[in-house]
Amino acid sequence: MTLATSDPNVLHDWITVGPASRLLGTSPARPYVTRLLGAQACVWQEAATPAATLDGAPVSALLRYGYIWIWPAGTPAPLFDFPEYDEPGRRIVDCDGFGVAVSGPRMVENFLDMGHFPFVHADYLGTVPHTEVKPYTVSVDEANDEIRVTECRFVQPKSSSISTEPLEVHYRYRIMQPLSIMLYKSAFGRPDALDAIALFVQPVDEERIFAYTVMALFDDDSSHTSLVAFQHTIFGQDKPVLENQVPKRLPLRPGSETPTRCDVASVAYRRWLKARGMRYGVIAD
Amino acid sequence: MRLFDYELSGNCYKVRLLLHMLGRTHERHAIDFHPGREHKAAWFLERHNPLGQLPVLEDDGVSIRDAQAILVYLASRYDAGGRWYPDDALVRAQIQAWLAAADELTRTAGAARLHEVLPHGVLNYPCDLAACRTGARAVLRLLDDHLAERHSLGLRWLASSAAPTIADIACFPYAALAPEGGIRLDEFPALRAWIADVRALPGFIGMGGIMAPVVSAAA
Amino acid sequence: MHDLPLNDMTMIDMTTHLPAPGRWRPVLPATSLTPSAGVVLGFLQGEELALWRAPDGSAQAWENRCPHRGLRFTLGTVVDGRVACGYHGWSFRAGDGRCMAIPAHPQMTVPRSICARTFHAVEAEGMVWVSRAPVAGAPPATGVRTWVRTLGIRASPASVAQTLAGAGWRAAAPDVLAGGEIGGDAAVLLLTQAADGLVLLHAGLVDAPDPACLPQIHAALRRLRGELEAQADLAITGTEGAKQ
Repeated sequence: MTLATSDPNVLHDWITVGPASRLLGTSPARPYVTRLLGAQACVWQEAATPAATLDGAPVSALLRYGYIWIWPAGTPAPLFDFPEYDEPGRRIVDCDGFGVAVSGPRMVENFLDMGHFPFVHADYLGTVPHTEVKPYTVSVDEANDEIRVTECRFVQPKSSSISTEPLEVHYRYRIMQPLSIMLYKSAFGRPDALDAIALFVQPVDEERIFAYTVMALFDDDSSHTSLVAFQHTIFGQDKPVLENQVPKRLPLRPGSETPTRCDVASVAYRRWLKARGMRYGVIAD
Repeated sequence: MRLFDYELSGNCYKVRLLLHMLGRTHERHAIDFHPGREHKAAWFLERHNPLGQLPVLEDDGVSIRDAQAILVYLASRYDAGGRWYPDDALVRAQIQAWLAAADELTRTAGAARLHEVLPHGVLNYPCDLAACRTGARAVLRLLDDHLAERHSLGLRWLASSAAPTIADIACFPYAALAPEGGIRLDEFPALRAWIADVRALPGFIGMGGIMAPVVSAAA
Repeated sequence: MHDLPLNDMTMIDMTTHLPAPGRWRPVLPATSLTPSAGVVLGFLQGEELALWRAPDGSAQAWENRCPHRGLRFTLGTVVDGRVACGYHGWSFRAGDGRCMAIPAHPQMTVPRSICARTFHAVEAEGMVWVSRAPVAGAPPATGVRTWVRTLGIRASPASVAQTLAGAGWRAAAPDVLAGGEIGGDAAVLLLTQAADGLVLLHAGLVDAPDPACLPQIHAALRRLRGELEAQADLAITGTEGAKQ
């Protein structure tokens, strides 16, 4: 196998290649075919587990959280935890995903960002003049090498498919891998609970991805279709913005772009990527 | 009135846009196009559209399929001012020709977009992406040439009328969304100006991918 | 010090006491910059520009990229006489392109260093001309009375210039071709190098056309485009033929 990259961040970790539903009806002769890290990935159902090749070579594969994960090179370690996925009382909604002509890190950074809510998601996740991003906290969970972003608050007019009044929504973020991030937001009507929304990014190549969303919610009232439709609407609003960022790869050199006070989380993400020696989908120097 | 609809469909958006311009209240029945493929479900095929396509408008118990046909229906029945589908033989013939171009745009630019937007393993039919893009550029160039000629006559809309018609609504979405299919609009300056004109219309609403212009902000 | 007509567009390089080199290049017709048009895409030697009209009526030309996270300014809007970026609403003013407001921090005074990258822009004879560096003097005179349209030509600038020269057009100035006719009317063609094998050809007439003749003028322009693209195709296949 000769992949175009030697970046251990993407070679020695689990990366998703799509929902488990892609494996329906597959066999070694008729695998699910997709692209990962610039190479062809084939995955098929073999008894209870998935089997996969990447660029023609066998690779480890597993099914977790309703998604197919591949470990491109070397010996696999455990996948990150997503405890909310199996938590009783939660409803799992798989929104599947979409293609975006941008790098994975740009997608993750957009998912982390609240300042764009009143502009890109006007009347959905934010409205002028409620544009202020109040200070929040960023820390690194050293044990798991994950970034935690907490105490985020934002005034939203229509923060989910069922809310009708503007209210201040509480957010938290957790970045598990360079290309996987979770957001937690206060559940509508349940002040003590947080809905969990995960973004898993499949890097087709350095400047093209598939972005998948899985939600673990406290919501017994909304229809499945309306929940998925809401996420698709939000996604559709982000897509042209992501595809018109220049350059497509995320610049890691400080000073190449201009963060401001509300960008503490994205500054931390870029620093974390640099410290990890990230090369794929970024401009490292 | 009920619209069977998917948020990210350009053809559904055309109908939502005209309904909003006409001020018609309606129920929006969301169809799980992706990943549910609900538009191909038996109940939808049997009761609403044997082609398994969106949008479908149900009015007075009758299902009307085809985005362009729905635009004609809504403008004919609900446009009291007669602006969107003027009762003029020549203008209607021009509109008809542009509705056909809108169909061609769906088959080319819309198909290229679908191919790029949906992940691998979802679209279960082959798509010749290069052919779609070439075909899209041909229709976009036709629009750009036509609009450039209209502009030099001091006119702004596709048909020979002072106001926009359903011809403009029909062609707008997939032209504006062409970049999502990998088709850049750099070479079509008159088309880009027309896209801005449509977005500036009173009562304009956007969709994911086509932002409505921002109203004056407290800056 | 050279004896040059100085105007407010001229700057002097203090090390050489000569005007800093710059050249006006045609970008788009001034009528493209209407209020509803917002922020309009243009090109300067293959680089993207974001153009708009300031409250004082002057044309503004910026690098098409917000300094915050690199979103193209052409996805933004002109709000209250400034460009609001489509991503986070950062608001940039005309002239020096300084960012004046960051909506995420309504009380913050924006550092002076945060600004759009600006170019020099001037309007002459209904065309917007842009330069990277300050230019001594006005853009070249074109003699155009009416701009008809801008066409996208899928060809290289060299191929277009060569084909037009072969058809009798002469370079009245860099990027300005005169001496030819379109649909029987005396015309002038301006060339803009856009990105990736694309030339934007701005066609103007020396006299105001008879409106009844406009359809044939447009038809002639489409024919010209066809010839330019056919020649560009021949140039490509000719090169490939030579390689064999």
